Amino acid sequence: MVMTRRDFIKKTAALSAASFVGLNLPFAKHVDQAGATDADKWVRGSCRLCGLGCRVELGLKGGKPVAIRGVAKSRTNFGYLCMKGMLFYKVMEHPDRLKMPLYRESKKDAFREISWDEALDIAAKKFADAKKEFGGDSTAYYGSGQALTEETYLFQKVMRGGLQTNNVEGNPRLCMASAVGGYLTSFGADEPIGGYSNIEKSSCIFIIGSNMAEAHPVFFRRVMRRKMDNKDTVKVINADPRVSPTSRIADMHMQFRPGTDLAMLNAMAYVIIEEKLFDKKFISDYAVFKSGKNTVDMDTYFAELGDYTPEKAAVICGGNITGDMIRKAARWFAKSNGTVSCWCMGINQRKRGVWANNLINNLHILTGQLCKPGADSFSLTGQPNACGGVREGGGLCHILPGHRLVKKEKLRNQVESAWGIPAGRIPPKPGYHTMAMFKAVNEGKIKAIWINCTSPAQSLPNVDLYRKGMAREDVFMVCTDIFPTLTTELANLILPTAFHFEKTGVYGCTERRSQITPKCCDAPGEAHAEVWIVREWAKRLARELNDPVIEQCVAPFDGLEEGYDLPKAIWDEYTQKLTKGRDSDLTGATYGVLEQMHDGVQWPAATEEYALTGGTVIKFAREYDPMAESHAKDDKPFQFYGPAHPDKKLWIWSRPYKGADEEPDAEYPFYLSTGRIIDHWHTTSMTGRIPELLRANPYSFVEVNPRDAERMGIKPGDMVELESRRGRVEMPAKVVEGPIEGMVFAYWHDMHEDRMINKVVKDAFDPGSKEPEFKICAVKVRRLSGPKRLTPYVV
Amino acid sequence: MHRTILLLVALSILMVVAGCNNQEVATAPTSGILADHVDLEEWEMLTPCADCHREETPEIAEEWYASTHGIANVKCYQCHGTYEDMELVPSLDRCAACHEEKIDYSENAVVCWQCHPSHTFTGHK
Repeated sequence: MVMTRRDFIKKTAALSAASFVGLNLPFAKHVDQAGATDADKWVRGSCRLCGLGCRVELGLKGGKPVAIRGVAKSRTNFGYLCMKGMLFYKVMEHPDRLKMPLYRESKKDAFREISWDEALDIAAKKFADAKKEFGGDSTAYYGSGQALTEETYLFQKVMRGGLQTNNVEGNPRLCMASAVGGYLTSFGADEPIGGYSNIEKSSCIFIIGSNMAEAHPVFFRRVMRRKMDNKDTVKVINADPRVSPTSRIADMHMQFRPGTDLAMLNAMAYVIIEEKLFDKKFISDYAVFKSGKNTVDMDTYFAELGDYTPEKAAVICGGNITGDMIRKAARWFAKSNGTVSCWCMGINQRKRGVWANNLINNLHILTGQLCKPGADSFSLTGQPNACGGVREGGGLCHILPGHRLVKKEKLRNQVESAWGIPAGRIPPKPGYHTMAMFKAVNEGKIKAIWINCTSPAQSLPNVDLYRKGMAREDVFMVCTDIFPTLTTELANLILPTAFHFEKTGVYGCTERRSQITPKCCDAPGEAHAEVWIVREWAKRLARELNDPVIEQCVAPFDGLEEGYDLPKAIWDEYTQKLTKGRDSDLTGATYGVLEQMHDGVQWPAATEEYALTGGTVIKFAREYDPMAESHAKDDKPFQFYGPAHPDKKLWIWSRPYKGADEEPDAEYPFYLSTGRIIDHWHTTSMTGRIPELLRANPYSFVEVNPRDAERMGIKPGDMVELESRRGRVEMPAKVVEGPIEGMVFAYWHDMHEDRMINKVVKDAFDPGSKEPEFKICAVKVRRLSGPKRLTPYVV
Repeated sequence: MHRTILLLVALSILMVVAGCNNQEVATAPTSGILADHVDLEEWEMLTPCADCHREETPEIAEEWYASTHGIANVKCYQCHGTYEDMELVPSLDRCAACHEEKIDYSENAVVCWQCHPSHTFTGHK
């Protein structure tokens, strides 16, 4: 076809616009017509995105990815995929992929391509110099719930055993740390007791602080199916300040003022006790009541709930909830044959996130809705390996592999012994947690930081404050990633990495299930698997510091081929030496076993024979969990052997209602909450490069309640300014009966400077979990103009 | 399916973000299915399908919204693709991403919508 002048103008205009916005024309170039029917090979692995662990098969044609499909025999998804899961493979061949190491001495300079030898030498010298001059704690690793377990494990091994610092953190601190705190303080052990299969056996599903219809669509499908197939016998409660697509299947939506759910949850506990809906024997056999540092009795606990009668709580919650609704919810919860609670960031990303978790767990302990099919207190996770790699693999500043606390000498010594390094090598002091780490970067205390597979320059709260630190000339920053991001823009050294299916490794999903994804195609250019990068960097680091212990950290892996043998050796060391006998025992989940499974293995799974059954569906129940049998201290059916509770009991906590760190006032009169949409994931560095997903939601919007919109004269599509004490953004409005009156809700994915909502969000954090309160702060809302043509932005 | 085609062909005026200059829209059609679709500028393609189709094909939009696909947020593009690879009638390949077992189970290469009504899918025709 001959191009007309008009076509030409259109195409050049599109090019100009694309240059301006930084897009590498994902629409124009991404025309690969090959599809599933063209695939000559299908390879089984896990989805790369959220924490559900949906199993997929990647279709290859001539070694190139051309299609994807769900694995019907997988217990995580039964073949179903969401839009993101169905399309993520398209980023693999994207022209923006990083292919060569890039370096600049000064952050004012342009990047230049360098060789791997040069890149690794530079990285080793900079970290070595920092350690020599300022000590090991002047170095840091900030990782990701998207890194493979083998990667997180090896990074933290080199940091702790090699550089002698516990400055090992990761973005899971931003999303699930409060759930960890909740599980440890309520149940004595991290991670859920049950799994997804409880949904199919439940009679009441209590969803709070989770828009699972968008954030976890394949799990939502199970909940939806359960409700639709059992309309009269299954009750779904959705408790959230915002009416979301998840609310469509709910029998009751409890819409409360942001942050007041602590009062609401206490009120449900009040009803359960007042109306004698509790399980007396379960409590007597397995639980104690805690108030502060004291163990108390039920009467004392109930007296402390006196401030939270349903009627009093309804007032605190702000108008859309009545005392009768709270009573009804408590009755449905307690009386059902099986109740599953599901929550996510709405509970975790809070100044009192651990307490909110405790209050949900309380309801399950009080009613005995635990350890049986159809009943669980179930925290959803946002990233594919936040549980497996970071929580279990030692990816946070206070924990070592296998759920060991840094501060316990005996546990440190176990790890040192397993690694063959001298006792006392791992420092006893936990490192900086995430917000403290980036504060230390701001203050120049950290001189060299390695950021792996995440973009804190966009994902931290109050982000402008912390971007200043990352931009400092005296902070050497390495980024390992597959695409340019807002964070790589602040780096000195960018190292290109292999993507999912371009390397082998294990992800551990939300339900304690570890699943392998094998390498089946090559990474572009000179990109390498992170495990190779860390090993080669550590060898150079050992030479720079003349320290044979650093060499010893990677000696067991020297010379191994990076695609399979290397990650397998790392996995073997981690599982066989450091999970054996721990509550997260993965000794039986060898690569050989994982490769045989359609899905994977739920820990604890101490033998290969047991792991081949799929592992432990319900922890602590002797009927399902061999470890409950081997750790039994009496003849009761449940044995709570978790490491955090010496009394091996469940703890019911008295926790008062506390509001958000920053509540609206006369100057900043609106609540701001932020969250996710179905088409995008995190910072859009991946989903923003997939045409279908970008087009479906090209920019952030702010949802405004219709009554608030009317008062402010805001119409759909109008440009609206959101301003807090920290920053301002402007984005188009959606006027919807979503957020409660007095609250606005913004999508967080957009990386455009004008619309990046984390510039506005507050960086207050939970004193226990150190997880920031992304979900609540105070803002001014102002109409700026009518609709405006906007441009999507991807670095 | 004829109704779907007719409705899509009838999509002659596309309302995009209010205030945008629709005078620039007209241009030569793209090939394939898009030959029947109103021409769009690159930036106009940044509009979710449903934003227009709620008005232009309301029956289809309502059927979808009430279906399990609608409740589960399986959006237009998950089955029909986007502008570069759009299919008015999705190929079974696309269904197979989630429903491969059902497709393998069906006999004589029967397509899904031969028995399950398009966009509603619940039950049989």
